[in-house]
Amino acid sequence: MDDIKRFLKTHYKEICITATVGIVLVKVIKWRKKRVKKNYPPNTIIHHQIGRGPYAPSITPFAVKLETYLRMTKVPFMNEHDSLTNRSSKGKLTWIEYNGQEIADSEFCIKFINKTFNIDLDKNFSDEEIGAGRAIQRMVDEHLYWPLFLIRWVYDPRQGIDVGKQLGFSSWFMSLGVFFAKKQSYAQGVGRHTEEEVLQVMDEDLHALSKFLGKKKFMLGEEASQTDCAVFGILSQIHWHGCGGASEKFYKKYPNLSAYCERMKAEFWPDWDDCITHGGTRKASK
Amino acid sequence: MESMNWIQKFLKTHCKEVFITATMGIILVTVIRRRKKKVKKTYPPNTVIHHNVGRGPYAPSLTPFAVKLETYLRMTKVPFMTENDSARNKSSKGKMTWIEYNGQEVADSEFCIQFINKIFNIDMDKNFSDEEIGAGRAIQRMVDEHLYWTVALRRWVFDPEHGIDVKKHMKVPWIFFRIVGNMVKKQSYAQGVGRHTEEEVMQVMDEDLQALSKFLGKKKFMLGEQASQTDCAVFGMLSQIHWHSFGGAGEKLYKKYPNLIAYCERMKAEFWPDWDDCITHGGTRKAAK
Repeated sequence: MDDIKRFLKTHYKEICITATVGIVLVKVIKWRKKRVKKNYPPNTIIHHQIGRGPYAPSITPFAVKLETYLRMTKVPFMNEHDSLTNRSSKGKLTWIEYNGQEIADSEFCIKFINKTFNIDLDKNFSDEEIGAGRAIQRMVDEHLYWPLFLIRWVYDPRQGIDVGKQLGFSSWFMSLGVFFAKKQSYAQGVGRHTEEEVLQVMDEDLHALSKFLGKKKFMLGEEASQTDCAVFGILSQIHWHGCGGASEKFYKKYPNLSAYCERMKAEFWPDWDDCITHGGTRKASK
Repeated sequence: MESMNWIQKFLKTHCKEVFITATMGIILVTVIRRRKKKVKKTYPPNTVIHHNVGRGPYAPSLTPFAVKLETYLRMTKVPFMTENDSARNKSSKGKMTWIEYNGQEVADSEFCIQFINKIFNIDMDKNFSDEEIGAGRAIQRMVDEHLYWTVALRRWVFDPEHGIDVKKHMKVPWIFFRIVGNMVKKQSYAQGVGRHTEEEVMQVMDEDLQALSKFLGKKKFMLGEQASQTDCAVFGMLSQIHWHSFGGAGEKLYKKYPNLIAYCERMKAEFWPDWDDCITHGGTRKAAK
């Protein structure tokens, strides 16, 4: 205790300066964030996301999900690729803004869009189909997501696959990804499994999707639904951003899922080639 | 550099205390680990030993996964016995529901079910179409990986905040309740649901319950006339809302779906005819089974 007191006495100037600089920095960052409020066109959904992906419109499944939904419902929207430094209120990279109101979480965004624009895609389906659709969305967003997270950031790199290079990540971004993948997936549960078990549960989910889809055009039948946006969002990351890794190997066992992804791309993303960077070789025009 | 000198000086002047503390720490950890290994009992052969936390006040367990797993054991009629020791004898993944079979330990309720299917050559999927099997898996994921978090947050965080004395109903000490509550907040934040407001959590819980209700409709079980693995997962989770909400807000939501209430009563009648022997009736007596 005496040593600590002595330290504080002899170095009080340095401590004061460090503390002040720290406080000022935090305040400046917060103030800058508030200041960056742009003026957007009214009655238009502003889809905040990170930049375009190398082979699919985003490297995060939730941005692909949300933008597919915006396209499916044909509501007026524009993309703002700023969310790396302008996160949602829940700390995530995919969110929307509408006439100044901010909504975080892709499912809440979809609900908001439905309410604002009076959309009800569920009317095309029976209660049982709607129930199954919700369960499918929960499975892909709340479970399948985690093995893919671990494979991309932890397992594939361990096997020598240069995920960072293929998807255009800097090495610090990779370290951040690895840290969150391990910590969050352990808390969630899937991260307590061995690598073999993680691949097994991923395969179970893909198998379930394949069985449920069968020969149908879309997840719930002939018409597309919200469920398709969630499924396509997650599968797009395996289909186009699998990097030749573990998720791709399992996915190839289910040809009806590959065909489904191509159908979704053709139906809702005819301008796909303008929405990707082609392996980082050019800027996406949209 | 000054701080390094300071640390060295501290170690020199207090070397006895540091040494004693370190030695005691190492001994304690070694003893705890050895005790854990020593507690290996001898169980009957070719019998699934279901390790769980002990009977619950109004349902066979306070954890949905033990209700799920035991319902499955009963459904498939495999030889099993329960061992109520998992509060101190956790699984390899640090969880409280696991099985042991001829000395082999299996953790995680889904892996346990797969193991049981393999050992006893059970295939309940053969009763259903591919689409039904796919939907069943999605339903299991929804209840175990999403609805679970809303139920956990209600029990350990929100209901106590609203003055419901959950720890009294569960008969757990205050400190245990605080520790688990903090763990649930932390884990659910990492998972995602914990980033929502209480109102949003209730909203997503309602969405899951509504989906279950719509999917079930007028069917006897989740996938039709025959029971399946899916029913075990759903019943496990719903049992906690149906019987262990202790008057909390989860119950109010659940009451909007009478077909789910009726479903739980059917599952109880079908697979737990001895239900009253498998609960402690609010902690007033020891469960006979």
